[in-house]
Amino acid sequence: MEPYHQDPSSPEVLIEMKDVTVGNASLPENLCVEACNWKIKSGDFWVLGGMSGAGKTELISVAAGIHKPRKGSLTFFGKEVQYIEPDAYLREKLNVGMVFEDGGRVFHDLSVYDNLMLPLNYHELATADQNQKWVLQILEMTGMSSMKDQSAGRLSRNWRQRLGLARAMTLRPEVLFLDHPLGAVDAYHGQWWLVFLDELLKGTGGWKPRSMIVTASDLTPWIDRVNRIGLIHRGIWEELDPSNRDVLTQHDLVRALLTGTSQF
Amino acid sequence: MTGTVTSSPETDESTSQMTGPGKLSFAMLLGRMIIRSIRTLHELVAFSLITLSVTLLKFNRSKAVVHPIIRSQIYLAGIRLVPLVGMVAIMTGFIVVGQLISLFSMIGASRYTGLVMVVAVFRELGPLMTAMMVLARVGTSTVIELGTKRAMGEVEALEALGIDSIHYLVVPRVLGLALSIMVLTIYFILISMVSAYMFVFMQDIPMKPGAFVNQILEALHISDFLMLVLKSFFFGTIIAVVTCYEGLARPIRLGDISSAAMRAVMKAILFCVLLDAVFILYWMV
Repeated sequence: MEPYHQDPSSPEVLIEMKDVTVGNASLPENLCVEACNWKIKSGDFWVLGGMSGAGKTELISVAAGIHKPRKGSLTFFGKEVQYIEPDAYLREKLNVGMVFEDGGRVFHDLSVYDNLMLPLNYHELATADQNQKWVLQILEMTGMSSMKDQSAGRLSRNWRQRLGLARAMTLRPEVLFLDHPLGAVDAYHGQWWLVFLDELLKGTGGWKPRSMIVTASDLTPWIDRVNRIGLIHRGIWEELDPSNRDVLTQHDLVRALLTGTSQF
Repeated sequence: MTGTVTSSPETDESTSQMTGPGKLSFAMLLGRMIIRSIRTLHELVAFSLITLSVTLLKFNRSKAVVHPIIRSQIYLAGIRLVPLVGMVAIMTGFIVVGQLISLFSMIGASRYTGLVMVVAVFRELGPLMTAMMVLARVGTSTVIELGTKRAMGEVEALEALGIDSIHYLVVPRVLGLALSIMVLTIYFILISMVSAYMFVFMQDIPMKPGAFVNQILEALHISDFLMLVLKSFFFGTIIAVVTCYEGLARPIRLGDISSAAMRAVMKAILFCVLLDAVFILYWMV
């Protein structure tokens, strides 16, 4: 597997965190990550590794603008989020997509088709015909055309996770976050995800994200694909270069995340 | 001795006599209850103001998505409740109003029939009973529906897609419930008046339909219509805001949804009755 190559001519910073402290959404008194400085640049393909409960989900929720940081500043496409007008912030936020873990958090009461049409119709970004055409194209790309009229709540977890990806693609985000995309899928679907994400980064269907970030507790499927590695352990953020194999093989957490050692 | 306080047994005893574990825990309980109530009220007012501002600022935005949801809420909270409200209105007309009128006629006070109808049905029973029926039928399901969405992370998914959850989930319910309760209240009043007259007719009380209607019209004032509209609209708004707040405003687990629904029902009843008391004060003054 060839790693995704960063385009050196456009290392534009898309999202930047400066001294960000991330809290736990369900336990407000707990902090997950402290003093995190992270730049997501155009062409980056990140994997965020860490043990279960380390705070990966919380960190990308803040990076995607879903939750607010406890401290520090978050910048979207060169504009500090704190100082952007609500309408301008919404425009920037639409450039950031999120695929949630554990079944994609799809809208259970809507059909597969309506799950995809909802964000497009809500934001009125194109005509109804254009939206419909794009949604049908996404369904085709993700292999879900035959289920378009099914209720999302009736899909298996594998397909719901895939629907979560399809829904995130509708708004053609420039940065795509994927929270544990392989965490809730079986081996067959897991293989499909890996192949599809590779295709997506090459620009399938006339659109590709400029940067993609996945979280994982098992680095094995990702280590040869990504060009950036971020690690979270005991609230500390660390960046590694995946091309430097010596550093990787000597890093205790990386070894644990590759071999599945739980007593790290 | 650096700040260490040793107390004698006498001191401990006198302290426990003064405050006592029972008295202290009651005071603490009361204090906590008051603080919690103030906090909840504060959050509810804030939630209401956010909903109001979103309604005013975004009413015409995303019409293709939001307006069909308003229509479906009117169907759920209004049209689907027509048979239930009709049944209860017939029974109210028969049992409460009809009996009162027949009693008045027995003691020679038939001229108060219109006033009884206006005070009992128009001002009180109509709006309050309709609101309670909508609360039981739609309010509880709103808490369950929104609580499930919140617990399953669908609200976060909406936010991630740039969809304002207040605009998409709360505004249609507030407008749908407020409009539905207004219309259902008028329907309730009309049906109960007809059924009250049916009871009067069956009891062989000498009162012609024209006289019955005339008495009601004479007892009615323009302000009654205005207050009826306002009251039913606010009842609908209270029910929608309280149920949406309980379902959405705080992180919730699936197991907590039933207790949230119970809390929402209690709060909605309490606020509706309080509002009703304010309207009674207006009529008394």
